[in-house]
Amino acid sequence: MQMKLDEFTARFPDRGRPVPAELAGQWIAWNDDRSQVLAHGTDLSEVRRQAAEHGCACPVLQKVPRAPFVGGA
Amino acid sequence: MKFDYTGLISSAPDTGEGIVIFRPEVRIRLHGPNGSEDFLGLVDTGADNTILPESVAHALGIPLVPGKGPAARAFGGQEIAISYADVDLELIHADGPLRWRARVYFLADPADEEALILGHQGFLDYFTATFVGEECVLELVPNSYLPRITAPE
Repeated sequence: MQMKLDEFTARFPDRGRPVPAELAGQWIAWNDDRSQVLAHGTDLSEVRRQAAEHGCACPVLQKVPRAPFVGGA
Repeated sequence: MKFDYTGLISSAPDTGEGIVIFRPEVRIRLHGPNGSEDFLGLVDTGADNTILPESVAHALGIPLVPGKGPAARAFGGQEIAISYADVDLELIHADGPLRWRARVYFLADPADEEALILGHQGFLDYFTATFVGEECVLELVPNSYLPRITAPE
């Protein structure tokens, strides 16, 4: 499923904001409810460490693909 | 258990305009000797196995066994070494967590190609999965094949 950003906000107003395009290819650390990106970068351990510095003991870590991802490992 | 697809802002391949791409990703907790970490993993019906980056294994202190089979191939034909381990996975959801142990494969991907793929072996085999495209929601119902565990072993 793909849609324009304004359609997304209209159809899914209660969902968190999508990952910004500039973070493609990076690891990001979300806070627990995934409302805020605490840290990002190319090194997983460093991103994890930065999230801890923000006081988040259990971040949700995501590797953002360089879209479009064509799937199937 | 229902999981909202995650969204990623990108550019449309045809027009180049800004779009939101939705992906069926779920929150999965991986356990290792160094502790546990939560990740978003892509539920991929086209993947035979559950495949994670080696950097995840290193972060959790998971000892890896080198695979004896053929290497994986990336786009462009580059061979990538495969290793594996038996890992405790835990699906995190408001209905309560589900934990099981499964064989997971690890790839030494180039850093910008890393991906967390939840494929059939180790993940999808244990669920009835419904991809509700209209709502951008994934529904997972555990089946009797799930080797559920309730405590660390």
